[in-house]
Amino acid sequence: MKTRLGILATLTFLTTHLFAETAPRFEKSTKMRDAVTHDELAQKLRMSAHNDPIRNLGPAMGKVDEDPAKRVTDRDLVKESTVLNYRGFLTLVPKRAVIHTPANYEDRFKPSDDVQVQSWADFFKGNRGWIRTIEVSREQAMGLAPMDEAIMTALQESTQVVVATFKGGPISVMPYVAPEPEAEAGAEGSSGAEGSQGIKKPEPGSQQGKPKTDTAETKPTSKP
Amino acid sequence: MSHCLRIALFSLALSIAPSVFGQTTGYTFFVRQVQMPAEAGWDITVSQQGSQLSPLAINPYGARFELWAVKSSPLTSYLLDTTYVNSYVPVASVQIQTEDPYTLIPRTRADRPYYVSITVSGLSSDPMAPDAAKSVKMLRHAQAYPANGDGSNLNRSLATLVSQGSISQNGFQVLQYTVNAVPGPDRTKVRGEERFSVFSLADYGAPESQLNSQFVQIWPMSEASVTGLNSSSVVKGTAPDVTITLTDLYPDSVTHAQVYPGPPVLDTAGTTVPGASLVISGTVPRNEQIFLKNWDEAIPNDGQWTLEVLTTTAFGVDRLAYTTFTVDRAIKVNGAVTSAD
Repeated sequence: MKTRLGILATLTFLTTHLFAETAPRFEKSTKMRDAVTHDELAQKLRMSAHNDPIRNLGPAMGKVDEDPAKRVTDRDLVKESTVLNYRGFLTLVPKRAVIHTPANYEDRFKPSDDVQVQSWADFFKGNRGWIRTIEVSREQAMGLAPMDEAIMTALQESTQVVVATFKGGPISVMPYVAPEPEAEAGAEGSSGAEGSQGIKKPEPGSQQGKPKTDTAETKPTSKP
Repeated sequence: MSHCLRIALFSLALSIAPSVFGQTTGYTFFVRQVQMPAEAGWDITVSQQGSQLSPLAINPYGARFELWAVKSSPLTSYLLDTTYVNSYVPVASVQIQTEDPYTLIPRTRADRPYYVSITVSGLSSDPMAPDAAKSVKMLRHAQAYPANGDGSNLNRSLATLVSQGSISQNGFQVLQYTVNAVPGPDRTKVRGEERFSVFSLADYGAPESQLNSQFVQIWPMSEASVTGLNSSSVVKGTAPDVTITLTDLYPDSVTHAQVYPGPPVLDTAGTTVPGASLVISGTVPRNEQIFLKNWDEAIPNDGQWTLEVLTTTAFGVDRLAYTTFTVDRAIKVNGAVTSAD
């Protein structure tokens, strides 16, 4: 894919600018009034239920039987991370970022209360004695390129916990999935049109890029 | 050619944190880039303010950027904001306007209307484009708070999906709601929140992802009851002690009792009973009591009087309760004069 896109996701500032368009204003009532009753509000609710403006936008598309918001609201970073916890300090790294754990350190991967939560950078600074990092490439992290076998063998002997990092930040290392020969040939045939990193937008249902846990060369020695 | 989709990472950590995180002590912030579809994560080190490009090129499936706040004791994480980025993911923004000018969290009262403004950009008009490029999904959720709850520690995955629709045109539009849909048997007493969210449609390996979301808090209507005085009361000597019980006084409101001669007439300006004024600040409704003692000077003349309880909020002035009573201080002497003759 030749297009090189730059997307600015402003998250906050954009909102402000987008709403430069004028939103309606309420007219403040200056007259005193009696409180409305339950019956009046119940009647309004019945009316509005029949005429919900969202339904007037257009019929819902996609998976209308599933509520995608449940995935967002039911999240917990602690459960979605590997916890590193030592001497009153704790940090979180993505799952699969810890690629080697000596057996004697397994008790340092349990969450606990009454600790100070630190960023990865701060925690690593104070725990270099038992943690080391290994920089991986984007392709290795995404499971698109294998880790160096010699390095991985050496890491298995390490007496330190090994955390994979990308530009200094802890990163998941997905198991390497060797491309199927046909796909490889196809990629060659396309003269690298999908990118020098060998990334190709897969067809729906394709397994490329999805984790395979059994045959991973980068399978962590321990899964805290 | 590298598929080098990049995103400018705004180290928004503290700039977008909701009010509860306004004081950052005790919270540690994490920005995580999650590559789809395998959900491989990368924790990004960012400074407190500013912006930077993410050096981790985005997969063809897209990536989700998440801002988390984590605190200990107990170890708890809060997802503050999330944005999904892909080659053709539209951008959406949701904003809720109420009559209450409070700026931190949109809030309103159970009987009041509100507007939801939505701006969508980046939708494709190409009929051959995938659905995810041509349309976004809009969802409305409602959820009641427990009794006296303020929304903290609420399990929002239990919210009810009230309605959903699709937006397939770029631009700005406003949805007007005359009343909320927070569940509750008494519509004047509902207490909870409504959330409006825009989601992208599922595309290849990427699930439906939240593009933007905002919620509005709905607080119950205030209520007042007067004890110690009623329509059959006749004040002959000193005014009786009166208790005014107030429930669910709206945040940032002023409530007072006033009296005026004559029958009850809405919008009458009376005399505020001394000591019968209450200012409510804070962010959640409150229950209070007002005690009227030694308030004779407010009712100097004989005749019919009205006592009213009024509350002034961002929505105007509401009469919560009233009662009439009679003042009759004239001394009538019934007697007979006889002489010894």
